[in-house]
Amino acid sequence: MLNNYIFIPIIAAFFAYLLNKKVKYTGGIITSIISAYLLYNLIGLYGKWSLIQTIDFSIMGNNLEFILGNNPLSWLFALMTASAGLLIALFSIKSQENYDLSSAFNFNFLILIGSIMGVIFAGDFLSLFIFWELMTWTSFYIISGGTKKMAQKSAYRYFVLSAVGAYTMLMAIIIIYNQTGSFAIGEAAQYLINIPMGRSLILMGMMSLPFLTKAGLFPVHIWVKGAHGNAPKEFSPFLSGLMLKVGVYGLLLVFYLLPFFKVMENTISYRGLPILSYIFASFGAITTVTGTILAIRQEDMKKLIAYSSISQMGYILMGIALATPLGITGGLLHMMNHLIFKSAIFLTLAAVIYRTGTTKMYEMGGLIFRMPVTFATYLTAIIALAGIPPTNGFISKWVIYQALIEKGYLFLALAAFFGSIGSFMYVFKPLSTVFLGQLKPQHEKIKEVPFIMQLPMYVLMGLMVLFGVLPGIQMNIISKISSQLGIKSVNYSLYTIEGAFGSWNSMVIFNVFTAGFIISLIIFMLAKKSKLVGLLDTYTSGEYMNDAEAYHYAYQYYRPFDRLFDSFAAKSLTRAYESLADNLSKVGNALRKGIITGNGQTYAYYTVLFFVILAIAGWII
Amino acid sequence: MVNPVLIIALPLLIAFLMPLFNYIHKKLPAVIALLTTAFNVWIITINFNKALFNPMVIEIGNWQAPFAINLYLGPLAILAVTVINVIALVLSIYNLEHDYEINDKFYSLFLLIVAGTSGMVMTGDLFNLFVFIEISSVAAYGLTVFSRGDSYEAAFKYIIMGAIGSVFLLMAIGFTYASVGSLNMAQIANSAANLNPQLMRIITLLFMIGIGIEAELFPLNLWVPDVYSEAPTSVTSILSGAVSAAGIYSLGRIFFTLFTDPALYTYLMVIGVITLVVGELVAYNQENIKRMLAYSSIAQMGLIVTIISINTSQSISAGLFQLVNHSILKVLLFISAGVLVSAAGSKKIKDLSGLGSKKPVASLGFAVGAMGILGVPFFNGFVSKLMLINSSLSAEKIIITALILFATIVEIGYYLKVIQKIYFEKRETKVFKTANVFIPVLVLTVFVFALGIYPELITTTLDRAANELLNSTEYITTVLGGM
Repeated sequence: MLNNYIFIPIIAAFFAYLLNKKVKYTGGIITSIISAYLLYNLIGLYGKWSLIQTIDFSIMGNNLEFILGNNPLSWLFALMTASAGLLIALFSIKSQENYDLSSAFNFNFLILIGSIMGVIFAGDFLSLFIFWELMTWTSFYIISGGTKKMAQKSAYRYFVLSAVGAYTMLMAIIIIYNQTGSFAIGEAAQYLINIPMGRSLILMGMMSLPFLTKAGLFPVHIWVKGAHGNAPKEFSPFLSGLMLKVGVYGLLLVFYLLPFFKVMENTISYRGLPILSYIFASFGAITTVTGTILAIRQEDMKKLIAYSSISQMGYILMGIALATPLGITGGLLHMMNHLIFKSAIFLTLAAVIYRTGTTKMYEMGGLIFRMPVTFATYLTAIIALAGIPPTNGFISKWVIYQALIEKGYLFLALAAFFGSIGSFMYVFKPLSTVFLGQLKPQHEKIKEVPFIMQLPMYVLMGLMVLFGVLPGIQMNIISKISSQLGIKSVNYSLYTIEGAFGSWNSMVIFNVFTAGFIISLIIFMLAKKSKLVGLLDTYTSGEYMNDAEAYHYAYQYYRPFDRLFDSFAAKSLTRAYESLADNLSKVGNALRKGIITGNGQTYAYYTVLFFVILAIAGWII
Repeated sequence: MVNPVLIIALPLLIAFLMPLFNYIHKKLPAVIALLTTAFNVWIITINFNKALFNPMVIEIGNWQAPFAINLYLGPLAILAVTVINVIALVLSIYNLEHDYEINDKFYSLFLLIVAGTSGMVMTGDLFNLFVFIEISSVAAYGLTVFSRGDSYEAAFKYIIMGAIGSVFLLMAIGFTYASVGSLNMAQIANSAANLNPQLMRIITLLFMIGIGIEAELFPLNLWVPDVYSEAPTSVTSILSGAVSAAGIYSLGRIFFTLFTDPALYTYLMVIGVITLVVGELVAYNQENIKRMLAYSSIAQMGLIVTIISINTSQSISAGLFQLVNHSILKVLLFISAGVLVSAAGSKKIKDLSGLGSKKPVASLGFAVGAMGILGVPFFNGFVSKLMLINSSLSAEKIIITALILFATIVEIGYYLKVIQKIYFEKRETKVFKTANVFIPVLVLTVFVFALGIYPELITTTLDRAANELLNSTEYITTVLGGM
């Protein structure tokens, strides 16, 4: 039954907390077992699309129902949640051995998984909101537990932004409830299509705000850098890989299941796309460009990848906002693929942090031979992220490009290409500075991470190549989702996808790559053995070098490029939001100092004055 | 069948016997206070259903209303009296073990507050109301100074405000008596329609100021931060949880049963909104945790007044639910904060860092209280917040809704900072020994989750209470039925 997916993790959370207090590692093990159990059950749930469960519940004097329902869209997200949870729990068993808050982490993490399942399976807005809140709270606690100094402030910022969004949504939900007498999503959709368009759009805009926030999209993306960068290292993969996608789920809900696109259909359009959808897509484009530029500037590897997440979310938004068969396919494909390669990247970074204890890229270097598996995973993942065949990232980006070019959206396509090229630059930066170059003396004794931590990396590496060669596996579920959302599905087979200008056959490409690999392997074998040279054994024009670090170029890697965008980066949205909070507290201070003087006589005077004012007001009115 | 008059009479009697108990054994007063409040809760439990569905009129000395003082125990009164006495019971448990020096006089005054506030909500007579307000205020002045130090100054401010409040209240009662010729609430309500509307408005304003001091309305509430931050924990808790609730109750009685003038609800709403906004904004900047909670308390009172003044049955039950939740949560917060403060040896929020692992019970209590106030799902505050929003939106007061949500976001701001401080920072300085608060925290936490997960526990009571307020004829006929 569907409520098991929600309540089993939540109940298990308490056990995980108590047991982990007593015995080390048990929390992570319980989390892994529960996630594996969920994953196993979810696979069995495939195909049972008409499953609906209601839980009676009474609030505000009238009976309500929690409605949970299974459909292809929910199923895909639930599957992603369970698998991401499993991989991260496995990784965290060992990586949290010295983490003080590991009990609390597992407690919150299990509740988080349960509440995400709740959000995903919710068939009515009230249960969606309840689990949404629970999700925000637990993730807030997890991020606050980060070991870095800024962790709390980032978590705080994340929470406040999320809360603003969530309450805006709550207002919309209750306005609809007051009109229809029901919280069910279906009835809300029915209602929204029948009322005047302006009102309907405002309501749906209010509803989409929390999802835009959670998905880290412009202009409410400012929490992403801090939260992803400062969260506990095991949590960043989940935060970036999965929790951003919950926002996408919500957007899909608003765009397709609530009739945003249907309401929009007959408005002014630009090249066949209603203007508001185009604005949403442009938000995606802006997100992509902003994220890319800011990622290139980062010196902290986790923050760099956090910005990269922002930019990739822009692609996904562009895809789903187009509402064409190719667009939705590309968006969903990229979403799945982003989960895979982004969690892989964050896991490799977590592994590096686990061994070195730093996130500053210029404090590392040359880890390639010390941590080969980590390196290989990172390499595969960035190839996927940059969109190079034969990895999964290429296919999804290719479909998105096709969708953009098909309709001739020049600006959007340019942004997408910019993001793609920029991503080469920023993913290469950690590769070169962390894994390549000179090994720091203090990292001489570093070893590869334990096997239990490597395991998730192997799995993700495998998935990246598997989906790169056989995208048909993903297309099965995506075509079902497309038809659920009322969009025609694109033609596909196990290893081909048909685009607007021809089809993509990944098997051919894979064969070419394999052949190329074999040929180069043969050449490598036949050629002379390379000679190993010591790090300092190079020609230095007579200068005497004894510091290997001087060879390692890591700080301000793309300085010339950054200089181009210095003025752009200086315009910080974050500061704009913060000045809001500052002004609020200034008003509070002024009130405190001006009125609350701490003097009894003044207070007595106020009382009389108050009466006089009220009496006069009463006289006049 | 036990006569509910004992809810007032017994604590009043025991209060004056405290020196005697103290003479017998030094530990006895604490136990006697506990037993008295427990007895009160027991009386309430057995009378609860009766009062809820079949309001009781208790005539003192068998003189019929309107000729003598009568007590009225209907749905609203039983709700308020339950909250007051349950909180008193929890605090009596807390008082068994405490961080500050208290003696038999403390318990005397404590029981006087219980008697006074219970009387405030049960009485059917205006002058009697005044007497009970005075009893509880005077007891509160005395209780405030038990923590010595700056508390004298705080108590002094409280006395000034309280005295001014009584003057206004007395004037209001005098005007009423002069114009109606009776002090019986039912009688007044019955003939209020014949009053000169201007006079009625002035009377109501006078009442609002007199009671607004207990109900923490801006700008009559400026004594609150001083008293709350200086008084001993259990005094702060009972002031915030019981006395202010009784104040709101009396306001409701005056504004809804006695003088029903739609224009007055606008007054209430404006004052409520100002109280809410000022409370939240000032709380946001506080560095002293007890002051922060005090301002938060003010803001909540503003919120409750605002929502009640919308004057629909939904909004009144939402407001009352919020009042109940606020009483539970604020007591929990003040008890936990009291322990944290004495563990840290400082009231500054920044000195509370890292107490999460050192004082797990109090920290958890604080977190639960804060999350309840912020309205996390499955906590009681969530249900009431949902009701608040629903009722204000269904009354088409969208600005009020937006304000409530804005206030919540400001609340998130200051509560989260404390939670993060307690749980996610390392502690370097030492931790002082403190009292054990396991049982009070446990009891209150159970209430928090019980109401959060199963709100049906209270919805009938709330609906009937709201109905009582909106429908004063039922009140009048019940009391004056014999005439």
